[in-house]
Amino acid sequence: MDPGESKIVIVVFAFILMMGSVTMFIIGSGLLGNIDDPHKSTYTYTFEGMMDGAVCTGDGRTEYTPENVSSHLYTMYFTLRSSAEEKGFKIGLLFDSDDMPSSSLYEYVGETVIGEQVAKDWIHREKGMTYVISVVEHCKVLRITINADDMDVVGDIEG
Amino acid sequence: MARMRYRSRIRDIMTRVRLSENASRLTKHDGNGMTNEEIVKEYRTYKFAKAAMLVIVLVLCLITFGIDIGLGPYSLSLMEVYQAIFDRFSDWGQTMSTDMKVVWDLRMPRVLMAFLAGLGLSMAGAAMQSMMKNPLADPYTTGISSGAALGATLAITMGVTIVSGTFGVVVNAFVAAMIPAVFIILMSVYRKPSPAMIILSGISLMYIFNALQSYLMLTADPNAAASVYAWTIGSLNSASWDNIPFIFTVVVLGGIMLMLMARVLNTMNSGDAYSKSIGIDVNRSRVIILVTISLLAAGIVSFVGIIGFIGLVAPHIARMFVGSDNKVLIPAAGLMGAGLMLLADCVVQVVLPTMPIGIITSIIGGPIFMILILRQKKEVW
Repeated sequence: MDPGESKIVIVVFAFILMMGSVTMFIIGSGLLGNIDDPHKSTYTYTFEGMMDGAVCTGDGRTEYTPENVSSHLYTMYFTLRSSAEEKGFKIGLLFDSDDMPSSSLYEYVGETVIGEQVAKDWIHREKGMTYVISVVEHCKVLRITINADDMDVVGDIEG
Repeated sequence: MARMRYRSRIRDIMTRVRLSENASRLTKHDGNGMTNEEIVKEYRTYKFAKAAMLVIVLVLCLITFGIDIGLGPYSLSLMEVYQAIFDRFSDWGQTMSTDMKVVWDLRMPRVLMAFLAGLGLSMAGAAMQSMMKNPLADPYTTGISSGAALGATLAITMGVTIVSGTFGVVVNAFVAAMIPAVFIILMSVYRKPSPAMIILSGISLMYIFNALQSYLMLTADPNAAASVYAWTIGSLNSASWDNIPFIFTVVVLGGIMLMLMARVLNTMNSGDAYSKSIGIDVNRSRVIILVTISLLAAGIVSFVGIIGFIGLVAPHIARMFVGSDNKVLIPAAGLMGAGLMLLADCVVQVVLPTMPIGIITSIIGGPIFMILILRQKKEVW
């Protein structure tokens, strides 16, 4: 086999390997598509409270990406609006594989009844802010309370 | 007669004078009219360029490392990432912030795993290509990765494991990956096959393992099949600090062993006959290198699953910059592979974080590999 021919054989073989991986991915995606992951749910929130001495309201949402099998990281984006200003925030909510907030970050403080559900309350302090999150199964945050020198707001899940 | 003897004597003297002149010229000039100093200078520049290339790739890897950790829905800048790492090292016992926790516990194991997997697979690929003088040689095409996948599939779908507990799947994958490796080693010892035959045997094994794996997946329940899929397609999502010491040890020991064998690999590139003529036991060396590569690849694949094309592409790119000297090629290919894996992980985080990294390495690495092969002028691997 001359060098030109052997190159073509190598390229064809590489193409087959590549297509094999893509086919495997398509089949696998089909398989995974049939399995619901309750963690993937996105929730929206409404906020109200005080910001910089003024009454404020706002809205937010959580976003989940399965980054790691041993923990679940949600990013909560929310915007607070008062008559004087509008501010956007982003906070991370980290859960362990048991669907409870990461024990190295959060401290369990008790239970709260929200609507008809009993939620577990966890507290976390960071950069002058105190967060209390009320959590039920599958990392679902029913309520988040944020306290700081210039802020005191409560966010409740919609629906 | 006397006149002929006289002429012959003159010719002899002239030849000796010419040889003497040539010898003295050779000590000062080469065929291109370069002096010794110029040759030494050029050689030093060449060596410096290779060393500089290694340093540049390493620096790029460190930057990509930081960028990769920062990517994701909870995004962090490069400065925030390195600040979190610095803070962690400066006060180990402190309570972690969310940023630090995300950087240190959530993303660092994944990114370190990508770095180590790319490093190890590419070093194994470079050594395998040099040893077999075949551009297609790597743990993926020799069936080692598929063997590992079959071992994991047996554990996940049927519960057949060698050891129980958390590492059951990993140990199964590791042991099953050694099946094609042992097959290749035995074949090398007893049948003395050509490098091309080894590759073809590996490919046959790969297809046999894939067929068995597909059968097991089809007969398994959907959850188990999905788990097998996530594992075999190559994913870094199961990376944790518990796995890193093992994979680190495998990659470091494997890398040291391959570096020790680099000189032998260089000689083997000149052919078995030449290697034997200077006293190298070719078969023994081949077995040592194959065992090292197999252990290295099996150790990595058993944790991250099948990640194709990194071990094929990285050595080819590295060879373009540093040539075929294995003493430089093996570390250069390793760093190139680590960088490519980090880049592939960045693409995953930006484009579709749920996509397994093995798909990205195939989709990007496949065409790059084809282009490199088609453009390659030399037949040296």
